[in-house]
Amino acid sequence: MLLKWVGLGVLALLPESSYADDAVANLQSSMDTVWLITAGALVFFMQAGFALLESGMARAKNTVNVIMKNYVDACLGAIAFWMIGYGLMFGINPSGWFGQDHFFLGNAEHLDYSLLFFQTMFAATAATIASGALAERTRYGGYLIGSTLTTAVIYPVYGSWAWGSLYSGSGWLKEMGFVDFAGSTVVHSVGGWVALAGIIVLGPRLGRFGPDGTSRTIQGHNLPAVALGGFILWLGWFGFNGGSTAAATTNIGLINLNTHIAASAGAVGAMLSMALFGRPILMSNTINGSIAGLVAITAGCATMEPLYAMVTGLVAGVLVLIGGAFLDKIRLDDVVGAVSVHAFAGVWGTVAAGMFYAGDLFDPNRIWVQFIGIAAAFLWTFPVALFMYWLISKLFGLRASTVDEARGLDYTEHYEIGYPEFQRDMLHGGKN
Amino acid sequence: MDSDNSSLEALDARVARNRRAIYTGLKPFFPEDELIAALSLWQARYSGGPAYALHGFLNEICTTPPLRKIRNDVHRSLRQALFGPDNALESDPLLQIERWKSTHGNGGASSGGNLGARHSASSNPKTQVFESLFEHFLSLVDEKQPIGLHLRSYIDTHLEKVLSNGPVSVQVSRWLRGKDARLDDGLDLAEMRTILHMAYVLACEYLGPAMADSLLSEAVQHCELQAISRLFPPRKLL
Repeated sequence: MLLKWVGLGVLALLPESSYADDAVANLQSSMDTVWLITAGALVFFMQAGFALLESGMARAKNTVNVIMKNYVDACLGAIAFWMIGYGLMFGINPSGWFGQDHFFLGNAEHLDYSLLFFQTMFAATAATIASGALAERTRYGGYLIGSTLTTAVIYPVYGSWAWGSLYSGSGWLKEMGFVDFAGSTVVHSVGGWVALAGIIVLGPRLGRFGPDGTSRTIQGHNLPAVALGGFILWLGWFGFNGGSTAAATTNIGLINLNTHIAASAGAVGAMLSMALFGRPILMSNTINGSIAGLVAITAGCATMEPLYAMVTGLVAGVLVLIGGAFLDKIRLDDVVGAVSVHAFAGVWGTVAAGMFYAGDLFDPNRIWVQFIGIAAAFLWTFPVALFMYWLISKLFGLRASTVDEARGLDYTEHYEIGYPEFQRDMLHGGKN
Repeated sequence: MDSDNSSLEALDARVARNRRAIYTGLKPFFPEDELIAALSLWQARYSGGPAYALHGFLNEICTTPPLRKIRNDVHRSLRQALFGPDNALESDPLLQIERWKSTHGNGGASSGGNLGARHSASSNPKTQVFESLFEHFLSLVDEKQPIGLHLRSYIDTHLEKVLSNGPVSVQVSRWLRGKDARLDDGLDLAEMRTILHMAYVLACEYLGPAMADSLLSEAVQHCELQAISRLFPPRKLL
C-alpha cells in the first residue's frame, strides 16, 4: 500500500505523466461526488427540520397533516423533478428561458446523477416552504398538486434563468451576472412567493382575525419540536450552501462559516427587534430569525467576507418581525412565518449579495442586476402560483371546510391522529 | 362472615351520614323537588365515591348560569355539612328519595343535567344530548364574552339555509329565541351538527379558535357525565 502511494507521488512529480494527472483527477472527482452526495443528504434532512418546525407551530389536531405534507411533497417532488424539472432547469438551454432535454434522466454520466440527486433536494426544499404557510386549513390533495407543479415547473423555469444550463446554453439572468450562489431567490424567494399566493387564495384560518380585524395569535402545540426543527434546518444548511460548490473545494470553509455567522446574527437581530419593540423574546421568533439569516446568506455566502455575512443575517432577523407584522396588518395568515422568512429575507439576501460582493463592494450595476433577478422571480412565480392555486381550488378544492378545520385535518384528511392518548377532547364519535 | 356484615353496616352508615350531609348542604339553594332529584342523582352515581369528590356531582347539578354563579357557595355548604358535626345535619331523606324515584323512575334520577334548567321534552336521547351540549356550550361562551344572544340570533336568521323542513325550522327558531323551553324531536343528526357548528364558528370568530375548542371540549365533557350520554355519545354531534 505504501509502495502504491510512493509510486503515485513519484509519478505525480513527473512533468508529463498522464497517469498521475488521471489519478489526481479521479481522486478529485471521487471526492467531489462524495461531498455532493453527503451535502445532498444533509439537504434532505432539512425536510425533517421543516416537518418538526411546522408541525410544532400548528395545533396538535393538525400534526399528522403537516408532517404528511412535508413527507410526501419530497416524494412526489423527487419524481416530478427527475421527470420534468431537472430537464427544464439544467437541460440544454439555447434560448436562455428553459432547458430542453435531460428529462427522465438515464444512461448518463455519474456526475449527472450526483447533480440530479443534489438538485432534487433543492427542489423539494422550494416546494415544502409553502406547506407551513398553508397549514391547518388546506386540503391534502390540493396541496400536493400545487407542490408537485411547483417542483416540476415553477421552480425549475426560474432556476434555469438564474443558474443556466449544466450542458450548453445558459440562462438570461446568469448571463447578466446575477449572483445567487445557493438560492436565496432561486429556492427561498420562489418558495416564499408560492406560499404568499397560497395564503391569499386560501384565506385565514377560522378565528385568526377577530370581527373587528384584530389579529389573534394561534399558539402552536409543541415548541420543543420547533426548536429541534430549527437546529436541524441549521445543520442541513451547511450542506445546502456548502454543497452548492458542487465540488470538494477549499472555499467550503468560508461558505459554511458565513452561513453559521449569518444564522447566529439572524437570531440576534430578531431578539434585538423584539426587545426594542418592547415585546417578549419569543423562542419561535428567535428561531425564525436564525432561519431568515440562513436564507439571506444563501445568495452571497461564497462571495462575501464574514463581517458582511453578519450584517446580512442581522438585517434578515429584523426583517422577519417587520414582515410578519405587515402580513398581520393586511390580514394574511401565514402559520409559520414562511413568507417573511423565505420570501422577504430571500429578497434582502439577494440584494446583500450584490452590495457586499468581495472586491467589488456596492457596485451599482451589480446591485441593479440583483434587483432585476428579484423582480423576475416575483413576476414569474407569484402570478403563476396565484393562478395555479385558484385553479386547484376550483377544480379539486383547496380550502378545507370549517367542520374539518374544527375536527382537525389529522382526522378528516388522514383518519389518524398524532397524540391518541392525550388528544381526546375534540374527537367526534365517528366520521359520519 | 361477621366481619363482612359489619363492613357493610359501616358502609351503609357512612352513606346514610353523607346523604344527610348532602341534603343539608344543598337545602339552602334548591327548591324541594329539585333537591330530592339532586339527591337521587347523588345516591345513584356518587354515594359510592369518596365524600370529598364533589366536582363531578356539582357539574351535573349546576348547569344553568344562575346555578353556576353560586356553584362555589354550594360547594362550600356541602363541605361544611360533610365534615361538620352530626347534630347539625338534617334527618335522613331516604324515604323522600324512594318516593321520588317511584314517581319519576331511575332514569330521571340519574340525569342531573335537567336540574333547574330547561326540561327536555324529547324522548329521543340524541335530541336531549344535543340540547344539553348546545345550551352548555353557549352558556360557557357567554361567560367569556356576552355574545350568547347574538349567537342564537345569528343561527336563527340562517336556519332556513340549514333546515329543509318548515315546521321543524319554526320550532327550532322558537326554541332558539327562548319562546319554547323545550326542543322537540325532528332534527336529524346532520342538522344538529350544522347548528352546533354554526355556534362554534361564531365562537371562533369572537373568542379565537383555541378558546372555542376549549369551551366546546368542556361542554362535551360535561355532557359525557350525564347518564343520557350512554345512549347517545355527544361526540357524535361534533
